[in-house]
Amino acid sequence: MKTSFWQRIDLIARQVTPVLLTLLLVTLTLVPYQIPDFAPIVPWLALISVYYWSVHRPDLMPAAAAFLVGLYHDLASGTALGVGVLILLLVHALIAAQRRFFISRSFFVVWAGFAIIALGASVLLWLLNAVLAGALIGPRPAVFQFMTTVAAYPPLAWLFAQVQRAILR
Amino acid sequence: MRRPAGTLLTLATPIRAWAQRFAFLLLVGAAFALMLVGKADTVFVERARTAITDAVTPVLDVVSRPIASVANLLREGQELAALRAQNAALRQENARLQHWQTVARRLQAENAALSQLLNVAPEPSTSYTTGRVVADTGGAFVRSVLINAGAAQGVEKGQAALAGDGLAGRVAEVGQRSARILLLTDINSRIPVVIADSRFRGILAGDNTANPRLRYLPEEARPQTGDRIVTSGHGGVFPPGLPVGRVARAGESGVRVAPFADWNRMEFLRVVDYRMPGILMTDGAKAPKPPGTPRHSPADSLPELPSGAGEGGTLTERAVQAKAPEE
Repeated sequence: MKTSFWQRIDLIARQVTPVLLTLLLVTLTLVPYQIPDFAPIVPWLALISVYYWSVHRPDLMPAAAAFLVGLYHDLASGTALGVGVLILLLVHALIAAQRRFFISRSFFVVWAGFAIIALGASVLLWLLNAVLAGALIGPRPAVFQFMTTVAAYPPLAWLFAQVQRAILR
Repeated sequence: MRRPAGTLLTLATPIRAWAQRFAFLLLVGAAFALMLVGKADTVFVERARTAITDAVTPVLDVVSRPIASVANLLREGQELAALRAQNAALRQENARLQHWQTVARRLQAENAALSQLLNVAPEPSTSYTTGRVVADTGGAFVRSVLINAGAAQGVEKGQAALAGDGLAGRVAEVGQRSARILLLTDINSRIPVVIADSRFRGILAGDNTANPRLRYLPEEARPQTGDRIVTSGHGGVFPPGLPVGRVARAGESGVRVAPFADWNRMEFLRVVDYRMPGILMTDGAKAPKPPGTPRHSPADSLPELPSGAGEGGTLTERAVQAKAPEE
């Protein structure tokens, strides 16, 4: 079956949707919301997105895409370069290795899985940042960021599910 | 749509799986390489960062405006309630400031006359560039913001950025139309400061908490809670005397400073263009402040970061000595 040019464009557009959506979300975390003390604990949306797509549609979030998302996040937000990249890659690989566990599980199991992975990712993020800064960093913002990230998972998962149903099928 | 079962594919095409694993290892290696490159602070990384921020800034600029409007609206609503009390307080403050104005005028005239008498090198001119805060970046580990003014507007790396109430940070990266301001609470921020009254010098070192630490103070400096901290101007990039904050806690565990800048309502930042008459760090270029000449000996003067050796004070010391014969 031959696909026309426009069909191919359509297919590509559908396939890059998750990655573009993730980049957009990362950009939105940068906006100054002018909510007191919100900036240090803004949820780690890149992690949520990479997790969701790696669990549900790994073909649309390959390791290279996770790398790209991490790179964009690190460059745009001014955090230590490479740290976000490495963690997103590891999360992606972990899910790829444990995919059997996630297939056709209930939402709450997937959410719990996310909480566990986010905990590991937050600890790793904190450690790597401390090592790169060469100083002990107070863990409090990291703890709060972990909590906001876990809390932000359900609404975003709902959003992604809508996108998945509407665009990707 | 294709939805390959991972295990089946792996069995069928071991070469492909091997290639995938290799690609993954390559990416992980690249991540580590990025960490090293980023730690080394190369020009390349900075270019990449500024290219990204330049590209994102227009988008953020548009998105942040309605949010700022809503925040302003809410704030105005809150202030409306406290209008009467605020008005009375402002009246009182105005009276007090009127008095200060006359004092300042008199001192300014006196200062000008004395400076002329002593032939003090003129203070370099200062100009400002104002930028909107379009991004509050970083998450839990970095305290920095992006403003929508960059090299095109005359912003340069190292310049001081002021919020309305005091110093907010310094310019860390400059793109064409965006700049990243490293806030003084960031763990990488080091700002030479001086206690306004006692003129003891130190370094304000951020540690990602709301109250940065005042370090490298001389032994005999006994900062009291409430002491004003201003920039010292050492290093020659920051103008001296910019308000920074007040000592919040002074005790055995170190001195903590509460910055004047209000992080939660930081909508615009002014970047100070402070042109030194000579090259950076040359002796004599810095105009010594006659009333504030250091009371302490050069031995306990400000150590230059990061070496920590006690030679940083020689710069002004020398400048002061150069003036001495004319007295």
